[in-house]
Amino acid sequence: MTIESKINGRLHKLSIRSGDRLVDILREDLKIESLLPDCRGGACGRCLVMLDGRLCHACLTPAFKIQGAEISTYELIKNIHEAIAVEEGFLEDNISPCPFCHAVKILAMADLLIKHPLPDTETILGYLELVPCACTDPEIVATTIHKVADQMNRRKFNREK
Amino acid sequence: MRSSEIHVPKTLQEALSILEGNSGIQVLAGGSELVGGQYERLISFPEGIVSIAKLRELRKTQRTEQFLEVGACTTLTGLLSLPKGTLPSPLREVIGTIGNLGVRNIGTIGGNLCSMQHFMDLWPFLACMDAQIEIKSSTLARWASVYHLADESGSPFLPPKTLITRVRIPLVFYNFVFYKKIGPLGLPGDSSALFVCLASIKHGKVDAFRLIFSGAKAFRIKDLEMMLLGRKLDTPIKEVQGILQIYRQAFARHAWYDGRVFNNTLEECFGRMFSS
Repeated sequence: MTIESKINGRLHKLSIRSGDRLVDILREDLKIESLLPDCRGGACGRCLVMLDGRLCHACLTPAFKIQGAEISTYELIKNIHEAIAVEEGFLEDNISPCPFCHAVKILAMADLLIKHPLPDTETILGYLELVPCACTDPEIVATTIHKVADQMNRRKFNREK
Repeated sequence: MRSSEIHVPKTLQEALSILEGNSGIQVLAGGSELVGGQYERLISFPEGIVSIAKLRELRKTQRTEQFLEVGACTTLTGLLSLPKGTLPSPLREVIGTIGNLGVRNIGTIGGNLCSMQHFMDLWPFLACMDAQIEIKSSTLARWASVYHLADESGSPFLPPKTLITRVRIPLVFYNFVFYKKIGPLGLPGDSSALFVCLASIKHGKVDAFRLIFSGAKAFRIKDLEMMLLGRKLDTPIKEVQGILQIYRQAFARHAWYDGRVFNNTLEECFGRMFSS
């Protein structure tokens, strides 16, 4: 079957099989390399994408479900304000996620800041549960995210000294 | 691998017609249960799939003074995003324990109720709360108790060629809530079960009481629930032990789950209620 979907801002026509998973289509047909189909069970979070504005596991998403939908991956999201702020925050606090989870962790944290401009620790940890990689301590990441959110809000309301 | 025929209807009526005209077709909303238990490269689907997640008719929310009504394709995140106080607190709490955010973003309330392998997390809560579901086929529409998603033997059941379209949740306040998830983390399987007890205590007496133990099957004794009504919280321990004994014996007759687990949880639950 053929489906049409907007992926990272561009319209794509894709030929898929009924049992294809979104993660395989994105990686193999569109060569989007930030995604890894590691667990295929929604556990490792290394295939997170934004599907119509909601974070979801591309390994749990049948490819036919993206007909008419909009998909954004790290490749697009890394350029938005929130993702840049998270990258800068990580750099400042010497947080360096491993190559397996770096992209999806930035994606998840950017989505968090879009949806919760001033997130509480519980919400941040809930988002971090999506990418349960041992390379970074969630508590330390949460502290940095609080700082990033605070800075972004100060800038937004012109309260920066 | 066999390829499946995928139907993506644009309206609810179209979806119902597809269901009516194709036997053996499976309804897919979020797909988290069907896909989540498979680890092969390709997902194995039944012969036909009707994908209903995008049907707008199934995503509406309405609230009155007495109840909250949500479309069956409302996602779990959608439920959690309802304004504070809209969703009864035990439900909010249990939804937060289902999967992770990514799963809750695609998993739907209807999908959670319609699992035919196993009762998932929401069923015992909604059944205890006397929630109603609207069941539709291409020719009929009716409301039924969520509890009727269990057949006479206690197994999950949904009439063939039908869809759950709406869920009506009464906004009733329970001041005693006890629940325990049993079994491994992740998707519910053979060793998973959920013990749920909701009660309303007024002036030191049991005013409403519901207890369901669910997993591969469901266990509930409505007559015993009635027996507890009006009991004082300082009921003599002998009487409470008597009720516990009836529960234990009744559960032992069903024998679809380890009785010791049920008995221990039951004792913990009653211990908390009658000491509160």
